[in-house]
Amino acid sequence: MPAGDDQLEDAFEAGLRADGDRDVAAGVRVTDDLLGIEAAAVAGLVSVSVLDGRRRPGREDHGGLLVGVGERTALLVGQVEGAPGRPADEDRHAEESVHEWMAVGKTVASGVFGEVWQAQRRRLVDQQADEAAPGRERADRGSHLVVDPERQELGELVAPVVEDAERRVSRTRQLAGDGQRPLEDRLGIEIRDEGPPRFDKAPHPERVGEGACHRLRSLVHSRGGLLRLAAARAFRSVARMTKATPVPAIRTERLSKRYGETLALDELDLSVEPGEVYGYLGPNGAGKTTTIRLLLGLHRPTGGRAALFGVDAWEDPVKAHRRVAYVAGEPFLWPSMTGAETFEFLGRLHAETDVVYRDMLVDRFQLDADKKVRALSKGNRQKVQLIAALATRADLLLLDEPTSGLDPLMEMVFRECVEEARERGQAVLLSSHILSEVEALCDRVGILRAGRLVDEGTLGELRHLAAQTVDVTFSGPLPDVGRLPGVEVASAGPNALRFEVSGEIGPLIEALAGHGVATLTSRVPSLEEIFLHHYDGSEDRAAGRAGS
Amino acid sequence: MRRAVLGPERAIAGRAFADGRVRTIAFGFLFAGIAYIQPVTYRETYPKLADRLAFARSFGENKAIRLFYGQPHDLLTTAGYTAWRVGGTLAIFAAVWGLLAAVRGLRAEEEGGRTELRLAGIVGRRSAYLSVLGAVAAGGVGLFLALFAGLVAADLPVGGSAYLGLVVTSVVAVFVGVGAVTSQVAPTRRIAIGLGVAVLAVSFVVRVVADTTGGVGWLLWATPLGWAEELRPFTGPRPIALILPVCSSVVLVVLAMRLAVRRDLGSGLLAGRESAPPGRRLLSSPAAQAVRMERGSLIVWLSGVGGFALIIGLISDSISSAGISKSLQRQIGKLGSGSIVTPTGYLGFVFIFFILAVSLFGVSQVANAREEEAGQRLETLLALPVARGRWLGGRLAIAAAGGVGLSVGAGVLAWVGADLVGVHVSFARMVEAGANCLPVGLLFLGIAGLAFAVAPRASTGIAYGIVSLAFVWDLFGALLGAPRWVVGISPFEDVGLVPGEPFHAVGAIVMVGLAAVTATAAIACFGRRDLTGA
Repeated sequence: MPAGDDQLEDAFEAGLRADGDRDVAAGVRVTDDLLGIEAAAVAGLVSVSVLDGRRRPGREDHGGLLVGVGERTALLVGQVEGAPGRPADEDRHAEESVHEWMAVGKTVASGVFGEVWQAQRRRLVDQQADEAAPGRERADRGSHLVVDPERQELGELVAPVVEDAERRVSRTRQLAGDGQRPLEDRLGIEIRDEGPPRFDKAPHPERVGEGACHRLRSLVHSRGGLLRLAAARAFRSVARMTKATPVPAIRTERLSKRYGETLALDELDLSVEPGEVYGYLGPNGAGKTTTIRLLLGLHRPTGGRAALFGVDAWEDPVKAHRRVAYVAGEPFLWPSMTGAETFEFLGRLHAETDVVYRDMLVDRFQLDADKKVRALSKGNRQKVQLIAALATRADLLLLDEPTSGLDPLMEMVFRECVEEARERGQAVLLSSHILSEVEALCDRVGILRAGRLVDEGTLGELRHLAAQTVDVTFSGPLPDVGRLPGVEVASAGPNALRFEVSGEIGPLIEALAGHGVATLTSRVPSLEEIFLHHYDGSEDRAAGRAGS
Repeated sequence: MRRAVLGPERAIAGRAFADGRVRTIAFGFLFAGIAYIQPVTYRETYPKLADRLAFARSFGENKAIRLFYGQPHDLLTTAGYTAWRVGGTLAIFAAVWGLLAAVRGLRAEEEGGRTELRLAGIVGRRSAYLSVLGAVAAGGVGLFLALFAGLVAADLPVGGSAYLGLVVTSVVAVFVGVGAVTSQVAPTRRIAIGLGVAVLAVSFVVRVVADTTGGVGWLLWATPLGWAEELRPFTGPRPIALILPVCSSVVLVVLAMRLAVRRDLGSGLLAGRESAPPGRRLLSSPAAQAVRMERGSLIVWLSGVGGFALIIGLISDSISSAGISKSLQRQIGKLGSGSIVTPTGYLGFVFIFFILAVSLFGVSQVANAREEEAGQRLETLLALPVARGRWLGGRLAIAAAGGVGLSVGAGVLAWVGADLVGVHVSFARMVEAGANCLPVGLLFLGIAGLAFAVAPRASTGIAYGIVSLAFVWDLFGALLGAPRWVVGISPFEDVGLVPGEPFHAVGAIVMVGLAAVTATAAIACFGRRDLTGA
């Protein structure tokens, strides 16, 4: 059952108080923050709930206020009945609880949105209406916000979102195979409706809030208008409550791996931010798969370290993997299990799988999930892997040549899915040598050669560094532009010259001025040309071979 | 361009031979060793005719001994004893080798997709099939030579040794044929081996019935293992009977070839279901899923060991110590058989084979876990929030639980069998006999786990090798007159053979302790190494 309104408010206040922000605790900005988060909730960006910790043997019970952001990440604002014992233990417990709640919170999100937040929203509407027109019967005022035009618009926005939420809730229940049993029951959680929770201690708001902040920040960037406003408000609230600073999804420091005589990876420094799609390029044997295995803690680094969301991949792989999904380069799965059974199994291990989204993905990828893996073609086995990974909605997707074996239509579906993941604020490491795919999807690109990152940047930056071709035809005789730094000249016909320009094109333009230029075309290099540029020259090739 | 004569065929055969060489060499050493040791020890233990007569009287009528080695025809000469003991033991090993070699070369290669690569070359299906069998045949010749060499080294007549070698090799040929056919029938290696083992088990049971039950001796002609007996090496050879194994192996091999060239590559006659409604049981954790994957082999192990235990119980009543002197009993004991002249002593002696079975089961479970890693499916698992220690611990726990089931099951079923035929042995004592298999089984499980954690690629070979070595060490160490402490290295030696002997608590505790230490070390080491592909 939905938590009481007072309880929600208390929870928020307590959470804010725990944060040590007196000003906020005094109640001045609480309403504003609430409105910010609520606006985002109404827009379907976040959800909020008061949850009771799941009871598990050998673990203390936790409860608290859960703010789900972007349907996936939870922010634990307060904690009830924290575990007694050493502080370190408590911290760990709190974090574990959050991870568990993140798992359930996502699935509950739509339900919570429909139930708790409808109630909360109505209360705020009533409150505002009371202030605007005291004395009138509440029943007359409807349930949408009335104060300002922007809010009005927000109210209109609500209907389809609520409808959608209700549809999803009923679908989730249908999938659970038990329409009668409450959702909370099935998920093994309890939505508290008795007595206000006590918040004695704030559990690591910084760490918990990071994900929320990232997601909201990316929403602020990717959405427009009202949604953007809502997200921005929510972001500010969450950021202030948690004092969160972003932690990169992937961070490696001088990461090296040596297999016997072969140096497979040489002091790699890599950083991928949440909401970023990073293209990881390199020829066969450059160290792409090695990198991913080190990132997952499957192989042990010879030097340096790799961290996922600040968690060392080798030291604590289980914790690191909670926010990661992986698609292996080859679809090695259990031949005797069907696709559906594979999803079930992998999903249970991850504990974060969104079954509704998974079914959508099965439809979109046109997979027959009842077929056994051994009866599937390579492309279809690849789809099984991809769906299992995408359905987790993990904060970080590690994709090792994910489209190998997929047909062009399915490749388009995959691209859409990655775009959606980015919009949700998930980080993606896309290891590939299909350059068109990387060009279409990636925000940043790193080029690996013989275990070293030889170039890195946005596509624009890479283009800037690589030579661009400028073709010029002259109306008069061919001029002598003299020597310009970074410019190479070649003849391209009786009255035409071709310039290969590295860096800025300005000096060349100045030099050409007054020479009777008839036409001038300039072409930026494609990613393919940039890539080939890095592998040009026999010396480089030898280096590439040595590392492969 | 001219094509080299038999170029691709030779390449295929060479590859197939190389793939199986480790197993062939191991079996070769086993064959040569047994062939040498048995006649030598017989000669030393029973130098005089009187001893041999007493031995023959007690053993010739002993059904329980016949169960293992078949019916003896002459126990008064070294050659006759060797034909019985060596022929009887090695026939089974020969069958196992033939089966494994054929399935490895035919079905395992096909399942792994490598046959596809071969057939994409300039080679027909028929000649590819024959090339693989040619390689298997070459291995069989190697085994023949090993056996022959062992017998001749033990100073047996050359002609008779060659004939005994031929007899054992004939079993190889028949079971290569069986393996070739099951490889066509079954869609996977595991099922092909399972079917072949079932054929072997039936052959064995038919032979046991024929050898131990009066009036149905003709049944011996119905089983390949019986043919080997009826060929009677050293004791009135009947080479004409070789026609049976020769004909049947030719028929099986040709049948398999016809099937092989007609069916679709990658399929088996037993078409597995391609689609199925999702079964959601046993998917909640890596351990649960491992149980799900291992269900089939668990059932096979349990029914195999259980069935054998039942048979052992049923025939335990034929044991009698009447008329055997104490000194002879001691000498029989030296043959590695313990005090087997009472029903309880016999049951205790037989349980050493159950200890072996439980040990092999544990090793096979670790080998399957290793396959999970070699097939890179483990990478998919460990990329999820699954701890390595939890995964390996789960696998070891499943193997241990399976070992408990096997041990106790063997004890209970042997008791049921013995009770049915009126042999009085207490139920508790038989359960204890079963549970007595556990310490050794757990120790080898721990060692296999440690091998897996430390040397993943070689682990399966190492683990099976250690178990076999320890077992052979125990059986033959005493015969070779090695000092007590040298023989005692083998864990099999440190077990009290309940119910015949008292339970050795100290040995059991030490072994369980070592098992715990090795298993813990395995989990710790596995957490510190790279995942390793095939």
